[in-house]
Amino acid sequence: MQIRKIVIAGGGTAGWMSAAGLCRLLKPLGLEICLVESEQIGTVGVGEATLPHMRFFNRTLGLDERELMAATNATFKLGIEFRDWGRIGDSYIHPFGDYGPVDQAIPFHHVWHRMKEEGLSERIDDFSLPVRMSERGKFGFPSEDAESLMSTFSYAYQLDASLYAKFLRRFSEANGVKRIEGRIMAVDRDGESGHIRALNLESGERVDGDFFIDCTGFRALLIGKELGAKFVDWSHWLPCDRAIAVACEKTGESLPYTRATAREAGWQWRIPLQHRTGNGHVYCSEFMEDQAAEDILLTTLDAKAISEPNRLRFKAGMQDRQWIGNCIAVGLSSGFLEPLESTSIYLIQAGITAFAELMPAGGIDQRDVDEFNRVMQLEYDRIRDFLVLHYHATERDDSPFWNYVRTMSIPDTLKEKMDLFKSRGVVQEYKDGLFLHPSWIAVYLGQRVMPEARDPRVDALSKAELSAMMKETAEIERLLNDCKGHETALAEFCGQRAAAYS
Amino acid sequence: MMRTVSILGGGLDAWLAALFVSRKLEGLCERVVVVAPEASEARGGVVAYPQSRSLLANLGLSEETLVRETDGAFLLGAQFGAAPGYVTAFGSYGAPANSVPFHHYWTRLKEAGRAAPFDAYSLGAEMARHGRFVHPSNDPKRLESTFGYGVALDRTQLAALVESKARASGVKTADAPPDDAWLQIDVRPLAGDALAPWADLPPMAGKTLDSLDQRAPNLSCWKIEGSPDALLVSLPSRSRTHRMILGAENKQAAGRVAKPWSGNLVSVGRASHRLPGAMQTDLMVLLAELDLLASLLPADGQPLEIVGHEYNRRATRMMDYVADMEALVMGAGRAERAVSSPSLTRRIEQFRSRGRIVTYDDELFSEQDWIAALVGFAGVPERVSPLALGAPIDAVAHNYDGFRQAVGRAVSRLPDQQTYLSHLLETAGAS
Repeated sequence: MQIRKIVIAGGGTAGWMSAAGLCRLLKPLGLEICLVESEQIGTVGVGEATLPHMRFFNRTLGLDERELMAATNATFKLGIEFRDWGRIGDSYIHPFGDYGPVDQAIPFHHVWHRMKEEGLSERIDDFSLPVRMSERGKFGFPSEDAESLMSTFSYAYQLDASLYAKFLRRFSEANGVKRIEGRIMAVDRDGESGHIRALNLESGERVDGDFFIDCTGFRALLIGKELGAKFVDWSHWLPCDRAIAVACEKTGESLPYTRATAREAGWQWRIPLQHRTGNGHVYCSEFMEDQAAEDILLTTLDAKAISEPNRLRFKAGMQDRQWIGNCIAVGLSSGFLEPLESTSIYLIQAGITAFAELMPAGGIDQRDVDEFNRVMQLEYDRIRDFLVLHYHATERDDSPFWNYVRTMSIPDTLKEKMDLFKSRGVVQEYKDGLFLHPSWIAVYLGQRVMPEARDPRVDALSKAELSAMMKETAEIERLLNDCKGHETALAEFCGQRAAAYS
Repeated sequence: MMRTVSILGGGLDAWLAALFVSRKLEGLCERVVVVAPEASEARGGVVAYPQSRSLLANLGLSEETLVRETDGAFLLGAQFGAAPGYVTAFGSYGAPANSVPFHHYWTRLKEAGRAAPFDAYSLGAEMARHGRFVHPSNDPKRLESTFGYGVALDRTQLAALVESKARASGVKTADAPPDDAWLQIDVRPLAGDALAPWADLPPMAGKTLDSLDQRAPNLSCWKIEGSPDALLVSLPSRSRTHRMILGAENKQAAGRVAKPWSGNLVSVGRASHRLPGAMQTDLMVLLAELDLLASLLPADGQPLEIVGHEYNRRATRMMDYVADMEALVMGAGRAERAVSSPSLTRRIEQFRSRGRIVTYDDELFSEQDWIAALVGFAGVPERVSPLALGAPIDAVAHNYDGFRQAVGRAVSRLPDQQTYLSHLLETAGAS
């Protein structure tokens, strides 16, 4: 059966990203795409903090960056600051960029290890332009000149996800996507194949289609309830299962990074937007009462709260199959990984891209289904390991929660990675997957996982060679002087349009 | 600490390993010893893949040195079958449209009976077929930027060159392994049965027939002819042709060792794996193994288990994927064949299903390499990306006919490699 009509069940970030992505990526096919959503059902509004990959998605859609940032109250994001994770009082930034000269045969963190020993350098952060930019509250656009240090980093956005969804809704509707208001009451399936034929709405309207995208959030109405995907529970590795979100007034200049502060039984986010600051407390209900979690959040805000606390419940894990029959799951219906590394929007994007690459030509082919499920499983597994690392690589013993995560058993795949790094500073590399070498280095070193031994080739470097590499820190400082303050950079880039939106 | 590295075995592999250790681990290994260097070097040719060029240059073996001193010639790919045959070139085929790779459109054209051979849409393949060569352009907008190149070398001359450089770097020889070796690198050909056989490859071994003192008519590609049971591989160097027959005469199963790193002994090159040799990957794999080894060397007094385990995980995957490619071009992709390698099975299945190219971590071959091989040896995909179906077939044909004609015009303008090489060597010599 030729696919002529795709029905997206659910709006929100996942639904409208799917609509926008597919109407653009699959435009040559002339498909009919419609999205069913109900204003009665709220959206989680995941992913206020994003990753650089999102810029490529937006570019593929042909979105104007200034317009987008203005419409979503976005700020620039160069990384995430982690406070109190390795020990209380510790702080490090996981940047979107490299450390040190990248054209070396020896990975730079080994060189830095020796520099530290020689008393030449205290912080690897001094070799990272995005870290230093973040620390100074500055921003500059990356260069395309591969010879320039300004080419060694990337950036993302901190934005209002609900406004982003609205922005994409306008884009999608302008590009032919039909929105249907309504609550899904029942799913009509083919008796023989089990494929979904239509969604029956509360209004009595029947929305039929050839292929369905489940963006119904945690309910997983199609992929889970109807088609029987099983949720693979990872809460023994990622035990946080609650979050409270609240916005507060903006104070001072917005910073070009997100902050994640470890708390007694979880962690707290702080995401600076142009007009307000997003905050949230992610915690484990086994170790903390809801009210206590809310109290911690409300008493640690920068300024006065400007919204009512929004409570969320979740469980870490993923559906064992994200494509069944003529339906895929995108967003929270496909699984959930807490927003510690801002991966929610990335996973939506990954699902849309994989589907566009594997979209059936003619009937559903099980080989496409298997490949989609393999690719998404790989994405989830590798992000999961990276998130678990943040909890497990800690010296904190000040609460039952930290004692649990510090001593828990971890996935074998992560254990292998950590053992390798601890013993010899080797970062296990892979081609497919989100977090690459610099990300792992940031978290390992930031959380005091120091290798017992370094690459022995480093010991053959002369002091003159080490000193020559030290010059990069001076070059970074020189470049920083040319960068503008983040607030100024924002105002110059999209200030006028932002004023129009406000 | 005085570290001694001993290289067990002789010939090109041994001297290359010795040179690698003495140059890349300079200051770390004070003594490098080649044990049993008298092992005779196999005659014939050897291929430096594009992936290996920079590593060789780091060892003091620039492409100019290689071409000048080892009777070298630039290689653009391999030709399978008698002329015109099918050429797997280093580089791209066609150009994507709507973000969809060219082979999807080519599949449509083929179904419509309007496709030229796939390799006619590759500048690298057409240059290889016609014996042309220039260095690629750095401007990504130009057609002349779409190909890569390796170098074909005379094995005996290369071994002599590498040995002289290794000795100049302080490498010594010995009759017996030193007792105090920190690390031993074994390059001796794998004896007996491989512990992890590659069942998709026929049990055959390469045997050098001769090196003809007759200049190859085409320097830009090597040729593989015959049947899967007995293949003749002809590899050019600048002044002669090296011929090797791959046959079942020796009945040595293809495969690899299960754990190339054990204790302080690391098996690389012919000691780690045995392949028939159609794809001439020996040098590429050896250099990649040495590079991996250097990146995982243990620190003083450190237990080897963890780094050894990581080396084995990555090196065995790397070898298995190279074996996938060798098996594919030797017939594993034929429709009637059952394939046992899970990774190759997935590659073939996904390609036949809808032209999807599956690649893995630790691959030595690029996605482009796999496209060329899968189109040539795994049949035509049953389906293409729906995105390739949007444009009318006439428009697709018009677009890619134009591309193919541009390839043809470019090839006709480019010099014959003999001419190019002569000029290059003269110019370099003069400067």
